[in-house]
Amino acid sequence: MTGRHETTQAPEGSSPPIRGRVGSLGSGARSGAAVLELLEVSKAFGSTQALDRVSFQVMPGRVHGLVGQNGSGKSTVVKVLSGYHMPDPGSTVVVGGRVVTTALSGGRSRTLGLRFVHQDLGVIPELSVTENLYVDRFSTESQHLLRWRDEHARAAALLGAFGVDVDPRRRLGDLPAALQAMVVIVRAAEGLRTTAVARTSPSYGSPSVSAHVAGAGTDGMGRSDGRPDDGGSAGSAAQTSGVGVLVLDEATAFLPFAARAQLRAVVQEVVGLGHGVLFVSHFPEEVLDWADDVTVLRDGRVVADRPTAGMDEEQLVELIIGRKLELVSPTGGGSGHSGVEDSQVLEVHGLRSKEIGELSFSVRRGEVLGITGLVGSGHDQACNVLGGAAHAEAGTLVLDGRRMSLSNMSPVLARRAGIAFVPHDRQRQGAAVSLTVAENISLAIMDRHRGHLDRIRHRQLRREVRQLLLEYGVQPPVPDADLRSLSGGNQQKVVIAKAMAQRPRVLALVEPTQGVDVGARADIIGKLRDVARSGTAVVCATTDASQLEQLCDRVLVLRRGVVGAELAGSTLIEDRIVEETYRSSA
Amino acid sequence: MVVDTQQPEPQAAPGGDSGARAAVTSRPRSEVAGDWLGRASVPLAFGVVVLIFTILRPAVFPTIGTFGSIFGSQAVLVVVTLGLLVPLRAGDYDLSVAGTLTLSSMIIGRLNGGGGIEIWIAVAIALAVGVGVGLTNGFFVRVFGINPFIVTLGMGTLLLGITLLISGDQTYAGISPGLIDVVVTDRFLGIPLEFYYAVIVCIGVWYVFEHTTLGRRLLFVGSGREVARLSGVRVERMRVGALVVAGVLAALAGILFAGTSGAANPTAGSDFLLPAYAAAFLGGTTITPGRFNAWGTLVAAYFLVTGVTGLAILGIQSWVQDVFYGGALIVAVAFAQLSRRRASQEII
Repeated sequence: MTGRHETTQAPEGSSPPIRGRVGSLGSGARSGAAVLELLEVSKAFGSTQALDRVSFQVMPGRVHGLVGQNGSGKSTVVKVLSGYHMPDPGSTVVVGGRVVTTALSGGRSRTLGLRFVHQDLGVIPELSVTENLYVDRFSTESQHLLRWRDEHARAAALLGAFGVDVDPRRRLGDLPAALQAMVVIVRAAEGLRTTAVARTSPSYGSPSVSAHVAGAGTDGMGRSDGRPDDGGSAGSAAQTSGVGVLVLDEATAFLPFAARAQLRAVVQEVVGLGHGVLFVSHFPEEVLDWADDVTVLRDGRVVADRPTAGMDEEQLVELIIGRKLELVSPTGGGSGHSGVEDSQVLEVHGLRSKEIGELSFSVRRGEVLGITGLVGSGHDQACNVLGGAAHAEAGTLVLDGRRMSLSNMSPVLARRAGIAFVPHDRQRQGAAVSLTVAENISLAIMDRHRGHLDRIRHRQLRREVRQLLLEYGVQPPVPDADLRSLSGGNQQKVVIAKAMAQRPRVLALVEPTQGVDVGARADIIGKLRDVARSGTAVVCATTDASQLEQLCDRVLVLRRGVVGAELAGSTLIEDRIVEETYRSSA
Repeated sequence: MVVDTQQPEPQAAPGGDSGARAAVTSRPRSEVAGDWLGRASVPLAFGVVVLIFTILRPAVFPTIGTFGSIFGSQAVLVVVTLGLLVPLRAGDYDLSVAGTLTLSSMIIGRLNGGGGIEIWIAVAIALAVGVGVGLTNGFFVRVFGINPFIVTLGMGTLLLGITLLISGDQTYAGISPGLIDVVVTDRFLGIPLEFYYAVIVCIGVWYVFEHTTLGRRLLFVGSGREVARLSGVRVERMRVGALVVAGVLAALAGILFAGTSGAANPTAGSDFLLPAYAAAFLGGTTITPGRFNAWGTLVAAYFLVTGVTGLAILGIQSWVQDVFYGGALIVAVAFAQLSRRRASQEII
């Protein structure tokens, strides 16, 4: 490895090509060479050391997990790879056996064989699946006329090869999020393949690229055009294998829990082609499930780098947070008999909507009701309807004895009735990230701090905001910080604080801990238990079974829009929830 | 359908996880100084421009006459800009303000100057037309869900046509001295009264924007429309209201325009559209950078006008005005974009 250090000096574009020293081994057998290697990569922002000599390798044909809490540096790693950040001097990045001396740029990391799938996917929802799939090629090749029938057929074949069954003519935006993500992953994998093909073609790209970056055809025949004389053999194997690295940057975070399994299958297909996958994730169990190896970052340093085999979730979580996790025990399970028994705060009768066949439920004072189900089962609809965010065709709501129709529910009415709503999409619906923390919270409470002439009593308002920030453990508790400067977990705490500041009778949440790190997740679950204990009825729609176990007193499992099972007490355990969820699909 | 109006929109911070906490809690001192510089940028530039012209033309530029004319005559620009600031704050463009302004001034000219109708009645009718224009814009935005950019673009041209129709393509003079006096002839501290009207409007807009719950809801409509909607803000109503306010203030600007020139020209008002946008966007980079704000707009409008006036005193031809305003709009938006990028960089 030290040998590779010297290669950082190799001037670009001047080394003579060396004829392939590589045999015709299939990519799978070449496990000795990494497709991506970070060697003592550091990055400082002012006095903050975001990355401190981070080293790890991604091997071809393997999924490599990269985990860590918010602020641990995993995003910075991704941004170094994507060329967003220039690593500090002394850092070495080796992609496909090629030492990267200058900052990577978007185009360069592509030609080197890196592809990224980010949380926001980067798709154009108005266009068809085919168009999204071939967006690169359409723009790079000057085809005057596209034969749409052929294009669609090719798209279907390509998707089919990865086990994705979708009509390529459909508008991408009409597909469920999970399918969109799969299309994007297929696109990235196809991009890796075509890059590898292009790299073998002398006519492609700049001379320096084709001279430097060796690649091989997709037929698996190792054939190298040339590469810098890097003096080491470690790099040569990977660079001729025609494989690249797919970086999944929290790509699953906003997907419904149940959909991730389908995604995993697609990723396995990608790995099967010999590519390496760097899987950046918040979710320890998911990393254990998906990844062959895992690197754990804490405070910018690698604290563990090893195969996942034999590692259990508790171990991994402890590595991530650096302490034993005080799991929020479902003590609340007993809160049903907390004195005020059977005082129903909320009753929903005969709720019908596009996704819900017929749903009735009630929530007691101090109770947390979970609603779950597979994607498309309508499990999040009830909360959306309660919050006025989705339309119901029929149904009535009884709140503290007052009866309302659900079919003309609106956010205004919901709020007036005493329902606070935490929507699924934090960045678009939950809070305005460009405004300050105080402003976001003020939207819920400013009516209480209104003086003459509609004037806001700023001082009073700020006092309450600061109190809420402390109460909900928002870090930093600075009212004037822009919301977007906070981490995802803290943003979510602000959104929940804002909802609770309305002093609602009912709190309806959809996926309250999605895209949130492990520590904040535990905080939020604990806080929601407190909220329930203080007498608010909580309804939480989520597909995260372990969260349901920790948070809820009772869980409804929906099956195609109707209640398939109701779990409470001793049956309310994660495995059982998962079981019931999947049974519903059968 | 929301046009990006340079409000600091949620620029989806890639990844979402970051060392953000550190950046906020321990913001280095130099950055605070940078903040201050950003806030004061346009006022400072204003000062520099005044200084330069004073040095170049010490006899002509720094006189009561010059400043009186700058502050006075350009109150029209300030008022119309403050008007369009309201929909901008709500995330919507209003391109019909110049048309409303022109029509309003022509109503004064035609009814009072040409038709001999009592000036106060003409003023009332002009303001009512402003309300009507705003409501019509709002109707199409709300009922048909059309982007206000398009609706008001059409409306602006339509109003210019109506102005030509009712004027018969001629200029009407003879506007009542009663109006001219209270707008431009009467002075306080050597500056025509219309300047103070503009300042009063500015104070009003500032108060609503920064200190009322109404203003805060408006801000959310612009910066997080879905957030506002789900939080129980009547978003569509706010947007229509903003367009109506813009219509009324544009009509008021038209009245001031008629009073300032003592006549109504059927096309002169359309020259205000671009300077107004330049001032609004330039104003959005200062005082509270990243947000459309009242005082920033006031300062920016006078900064632009001072620049143009100074250049005219230097003897530079009239083409410079268009170059100056057009350039200022582009530069202002570029700066806004830059500060936005810097802001998002900060959180990495």
